[in-house]
Amino acid sequence: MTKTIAREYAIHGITANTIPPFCVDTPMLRDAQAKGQVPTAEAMSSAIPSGRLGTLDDIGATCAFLCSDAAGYITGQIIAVNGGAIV
Amino acid sequence: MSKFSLENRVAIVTGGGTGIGRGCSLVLAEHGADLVLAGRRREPLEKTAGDIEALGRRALVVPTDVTKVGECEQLVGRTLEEMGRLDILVNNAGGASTKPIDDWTEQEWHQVVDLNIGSVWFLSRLAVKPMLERGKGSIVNISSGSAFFGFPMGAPYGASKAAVNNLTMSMAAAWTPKGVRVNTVASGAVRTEMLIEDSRRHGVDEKALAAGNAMGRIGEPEEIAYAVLFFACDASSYCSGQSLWVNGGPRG
Repeated sequence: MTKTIAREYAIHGITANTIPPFCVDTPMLRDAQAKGQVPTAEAMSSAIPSGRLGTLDDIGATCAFLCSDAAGYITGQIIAVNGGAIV
Repeated sequence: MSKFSLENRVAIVTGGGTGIGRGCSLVLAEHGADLVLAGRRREPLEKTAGDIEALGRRALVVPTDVTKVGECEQLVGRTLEEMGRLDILVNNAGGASTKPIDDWTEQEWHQVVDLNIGSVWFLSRLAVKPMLERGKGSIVNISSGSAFFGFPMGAPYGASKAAVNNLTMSMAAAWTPKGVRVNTVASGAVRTEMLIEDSRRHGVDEKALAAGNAMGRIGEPEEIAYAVLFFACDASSYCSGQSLWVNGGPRG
């Protein structure tokens, strides 16, 4: 879908990209952890090369980059913000 | 301080005097980094160094053939001696001629592989040492769209660039737990002397190159450089092992 949108609107100067986050420390995740529905933060972190969960800042900074003119030639792409997890 | 700031950091850029490497050097310097410029020819390195100093940053020129391991050792050694630290390595040096698969000699194959992937292997393993000691660093490799599809006129080039993308994942898996991130920016068609000359030789004009992507134009070196800045700085502190293709969008 990102590629289709990117292709359709590129000539209008509109970029479209995707950020697939991994395990981000959000209230939703904490709630699920408290209910025992997902592994603990420690268990998740041990499976991530960066050794920690993602933060809202990690995702936000990547959004900021993709929204800025610095990323004007980037469209139809995926930047995985996952601490190296899918390596 | 902005997560996009590189103040008090030192970056090596290989092939830093021309094309995408020059663009990277200037953008990193604009964001506060001091630069070490490596490359075979001294003159373009000196010119870029002058432009970096005009931005108020330090620039060290170290003429280097990155296919020679001994010269890579000197590059890292002089960086630490004269700049005092090393935070960022941009493995940008690369290239190859284009011709049909049957026309490549054995020696030419080895030259391309040594330049495009051998240099990333050897220099990264040297440069990562001071980064691992401090528990922080970022390595950014430059690869190419030709890593993602068949490219019969530049088969050794595409193969070596695909190897860069793969090595990025292995190095990221090894070094990210110790604080050093490794990512790659795969460049689309960008306005460099290398591309323009090669295209002219094959009778391909800019319009034809531009038609290959959704934006309908070729990229500028600084458009690759900003993606390198993103991976070099703390804005990407949770990104490692990624290869980002900067190409003006899929043509489909």
